Amino acid sequence: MSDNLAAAASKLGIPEELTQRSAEARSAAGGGTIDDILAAWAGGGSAPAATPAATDSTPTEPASSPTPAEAAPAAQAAVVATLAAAQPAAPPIITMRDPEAAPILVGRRESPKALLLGLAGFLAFGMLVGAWLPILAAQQEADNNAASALVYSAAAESGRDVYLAEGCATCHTMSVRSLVADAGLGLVTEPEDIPDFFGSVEGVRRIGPDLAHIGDRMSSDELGDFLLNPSFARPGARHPAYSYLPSDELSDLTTFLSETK
Amino acid sequence: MADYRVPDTKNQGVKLVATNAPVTTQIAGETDRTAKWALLLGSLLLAGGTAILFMAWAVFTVPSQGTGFLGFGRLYPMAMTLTVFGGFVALNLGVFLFLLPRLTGAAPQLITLMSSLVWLAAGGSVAGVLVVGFGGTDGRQGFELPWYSELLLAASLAGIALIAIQALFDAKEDSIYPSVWFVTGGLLSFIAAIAIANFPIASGPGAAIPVGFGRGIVLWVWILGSAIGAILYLVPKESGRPLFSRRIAIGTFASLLLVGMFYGLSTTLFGPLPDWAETVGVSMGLLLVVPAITVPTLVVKTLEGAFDQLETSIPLRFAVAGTVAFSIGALVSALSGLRSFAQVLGLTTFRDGTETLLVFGAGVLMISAFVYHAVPRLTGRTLYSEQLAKRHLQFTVIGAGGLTLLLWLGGIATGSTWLAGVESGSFSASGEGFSAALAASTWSYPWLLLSAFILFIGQLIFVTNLYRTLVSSEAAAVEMIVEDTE
Repeated sequence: MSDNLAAAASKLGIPEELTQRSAEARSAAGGGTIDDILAAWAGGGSAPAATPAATDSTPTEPASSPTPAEAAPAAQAAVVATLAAAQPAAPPIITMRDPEAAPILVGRRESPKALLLGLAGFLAFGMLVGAWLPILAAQQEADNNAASALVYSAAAESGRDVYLAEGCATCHTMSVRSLVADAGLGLVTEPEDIPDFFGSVEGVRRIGPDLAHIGDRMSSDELGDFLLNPSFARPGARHPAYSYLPSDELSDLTTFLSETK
Repeated sequence: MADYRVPDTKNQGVKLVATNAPVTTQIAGETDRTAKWALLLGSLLLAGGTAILFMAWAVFTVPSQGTGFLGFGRLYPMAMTLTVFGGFVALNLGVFLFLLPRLTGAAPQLITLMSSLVWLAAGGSVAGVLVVGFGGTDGRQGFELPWYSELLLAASLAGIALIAIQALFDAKEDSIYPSVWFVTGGLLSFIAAIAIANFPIASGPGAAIPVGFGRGIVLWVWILGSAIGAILYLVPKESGRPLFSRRIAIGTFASLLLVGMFYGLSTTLFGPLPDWAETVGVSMGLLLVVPAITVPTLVVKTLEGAFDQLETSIPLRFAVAGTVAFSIGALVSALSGLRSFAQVLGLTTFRDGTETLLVFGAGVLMISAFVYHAVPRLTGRTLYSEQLAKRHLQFTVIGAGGLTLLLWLGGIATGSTWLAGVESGSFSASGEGFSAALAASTWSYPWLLLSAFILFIGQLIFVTNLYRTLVSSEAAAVEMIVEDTE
């Protein structure tokens, strides 16, 4: 068999292991010995047909005829029907893949348990190392510095919700990095400077300026005027106007920003 | 009515059947029916996502026109959320349901429940996107859907996963094809990502970690992993060539899973997170070089000797284009995660450009390849127009490519301006650098808008082609899997 296997693998241009599996699959589905099939693939004989029921009369898609059976030793033969919707009474035209062709979707013997256990192991590892440990470490660091944590008033807390709802964090960050590029933005943001609430105001992109110390740079009135009419308060500004916000929400948002120092 | 059943040796639950029944009744398998509608719904939601993306860039380009509450800050998350949590959820579930019976030989049980859960997941996501539009978000970048919507999504997907796992254990095969790893792993990881990103244990800087974790998983394992699993199925099917290497395929999956878990941490470089967490993110980001090389290797080596089929096979063209986009995006991601790159490009639109390439380039092209492969087989109708499909490919490549290049250029210009302004002393107050950077990149806004429009038109062509295929195309070869009632 090894000669046939090597010859078949060489002729098909696929690895011997895959050729062997393919031959086994073909044998299970269509009958015949593996050696005969390998010999046929190697060019030395003719392989048994996968199914006697179907004939290849009009091969419309011979190379791509889809079939789960190609992956399945159990249900090996592929059957594709070419049908005319408007001619239900017409005789069926059955197209099938060349029975001598090697299956193209062949997996490797293994249990689904291996797949699921592998995935579970990966995910458990990832959750532990990638999520829980860093969370706990960051939390610990923040707790250690709790005395200096930024504290907001109740109005500012409401304003933070407005900040999130309006999508301000889509364009603005609240985090000064320890980089030259961020010099001039104020003190570098430390873990304790991040507000202690669930949700994210840190942001991941700066289409607009960083707002980590906006309360130090602009007064409450300036912020309110800017949010109502940005292009008037700062000519050329591309910031959207928030004049549609109810006055209480605008006031809360202004309070949140002015308390962000 | 003649049925032709394929004799098999041990298959007790599913048989391939070819029949001359009218096309409308040929799709006997409920799984296939659900897969078909999931793929079609996903394509529609994808078009919706690109439409909102176009609106977002329109508002960004002309903010003074006034859009009321639908500003860029709401529209951009809506677009990405509808694309990722709406379009890709439906599309990936369609891929999953198409492949599961074909690669295991087993039909999922409780298929009616499973179908209901698919609609619940997609519907819940769409409803959540609307809620985001009305300000009901908690602001977590990448997981803007309200928590209850994500909980509904995760619960629906968990139900689907449980039924699918049962089908895996009922498999008539004694072998597992690599695509099963990708699509099953993508689904399970996505559920885990939603759960972690929503778990209210973290606060302050710690809140950024699970969100970063989730963002990485969603992009690299759910969207791209499932898409790669899909093309590892269709490339051999379309070309008639066996997959080049199962080992490389599984290795690719493992590298994506590792990258997905940790890459998100690199988005916070130089921020308030512990240094070691950033180091993990950067190190794992470098692992992206692996799939950047192995995915094109698998595709090219599988196609070796059958490259001429690229001339005739629409799915293969999309798969190859998606592979190129993936490879470029993965390499750029590996580089941009480095601290030296992040010093200039961090927090700029450069990362958005890369994500655009990976989601709207690689992800959309690969999944479209699968849709073009599967829909004719699920509906029993030939594709309405290959010309439209070619236009879809061109428009998607130009639109996604244009957006990517412009966002990259904008990011480089912005980051350089910040740095140069500070180093030269040109900017003494915060805001000056941003104004200068914005002014320097204003030229690109109309082109951004045009690229987003072209991308949207491409997806509109896609949906139109699929719709016309459903209602007016010629009958064609159909692939059927039906329950064995004997």
